[in-house]
Amino acid sequence: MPDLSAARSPPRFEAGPTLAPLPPASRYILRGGPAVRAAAEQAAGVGIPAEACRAVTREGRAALWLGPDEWLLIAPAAQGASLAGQLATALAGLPHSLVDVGHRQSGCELRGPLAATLLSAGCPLDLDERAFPVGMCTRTVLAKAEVVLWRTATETFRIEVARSFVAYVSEFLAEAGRTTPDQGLGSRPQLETFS
Amino acid sequence: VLLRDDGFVYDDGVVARLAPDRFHVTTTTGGAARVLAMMEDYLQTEWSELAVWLTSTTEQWAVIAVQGPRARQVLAGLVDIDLSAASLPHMGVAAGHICGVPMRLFRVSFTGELGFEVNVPADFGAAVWEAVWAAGQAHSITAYGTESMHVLRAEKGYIIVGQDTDGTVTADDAGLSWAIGRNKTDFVGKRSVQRPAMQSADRRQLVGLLTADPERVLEEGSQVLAQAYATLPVRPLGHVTSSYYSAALGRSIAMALVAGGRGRMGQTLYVPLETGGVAPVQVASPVFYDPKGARLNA
Repeated sequence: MPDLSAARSPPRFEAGPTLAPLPPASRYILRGGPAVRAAAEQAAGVGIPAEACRAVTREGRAALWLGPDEWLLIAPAAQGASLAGQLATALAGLPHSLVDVGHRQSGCELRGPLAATLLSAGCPLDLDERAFPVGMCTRTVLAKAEVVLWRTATETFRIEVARSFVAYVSEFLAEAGRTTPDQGLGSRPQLETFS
Repeated sequence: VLLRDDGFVYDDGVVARLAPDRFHVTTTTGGAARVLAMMEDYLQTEWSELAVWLTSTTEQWAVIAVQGPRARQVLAGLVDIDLSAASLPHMGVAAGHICGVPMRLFRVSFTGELGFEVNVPADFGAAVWEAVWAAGQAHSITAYGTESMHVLRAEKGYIIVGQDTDGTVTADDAGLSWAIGRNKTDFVGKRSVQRPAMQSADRRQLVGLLTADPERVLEEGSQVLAQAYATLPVRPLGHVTSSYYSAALGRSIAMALVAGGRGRMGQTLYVPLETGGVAPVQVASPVFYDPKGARLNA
């Protein structure tokens, strides 16, 4: 019997010469009430935001508020099993839902002074930093794809999208880059990927 | 089977209980989004007191259907699960590994044969497919596509929602009464299906049709008539929903929705042909192949 435990073939963003694939991440959707949020924080190793549309990060882990009772937890791939185990232990007896979505979606990072301009080609939100500050995240659309958009730095956004939309989002952003005027702001945005 | 509040079939699929408070729900291929939306709608409006949460996992899992009398032998050397009929009977589910990859294994069949559906996290789909393919070479494995699947399921009278149903078909019309929990105090659509008109013996019911000429494959969508020749306008008894040539049976088979169909077993009805004339057909059970399920439960 072959051992295929390392034989992952994740979808790849193909957005340009600066593309730099990163190792796969583990992801979970956590659902539950305030008691679940409180009980999960220590086990998750990262604060779990109560504030709407905010993300919290700590030592490679992230918790993104997606709804009043819904968070997306992201951790390095190798930590997925232990994270899930610790959460299951911490949440035993509390009504909740913890679902592995590590392969459901894929992530990429868009960087550069034109990043918000580029996203605006397909996202109707106001991405001015006053309206969409660093640390803000939300479910939204990028053209015809549902995405989770997270501003991780002034000129950096992380996009999480369902795996079957990876090629679509890649090509949409590449096309937006080709058709977005440079505006004299320097280099074109770069796309980095998390599978 | 999932009903709308009007009592008509909305979707079907397999519900696997993974834990007392955890279910893995599958739907028709294109139905997942609308089923999820319907469940979320009921959760937010009718049953907001329930501590229940829905998460879409359509893209999380790659699923490989391994179907056929040798399916067990193909998988046995790859998985760490006991595949015997006693341990994993038809409609059983188990968690384990295939080639070291985490797996949810469903013993389910849309072909009528002994079958398994191997669910692995999607990034592993290609590698696991290749491993199953390689293990299957000793058992004459073949890849089958949607058209083959359609014939295999029709031989067993398994419906396709949207093909054999059209939004006016109740579970009973489709022959799915066995899937209705009659002792449940309530379910979506229960009040509607209890109305007299929804229980009329004259409703269009799913039946099988066997053409007098076994080589003739009826056109799907053809009308079904009580008489070979009638003066127009004529009210049809129903229509053909699925029609194929079955290699396993060596003849054509069809399914149809026919008024009072289950009370017409053995009757001869008539299907007008595109080329003119009519084809006489005999009303039969829609389960054409292995009606006792011996192959399914092997």
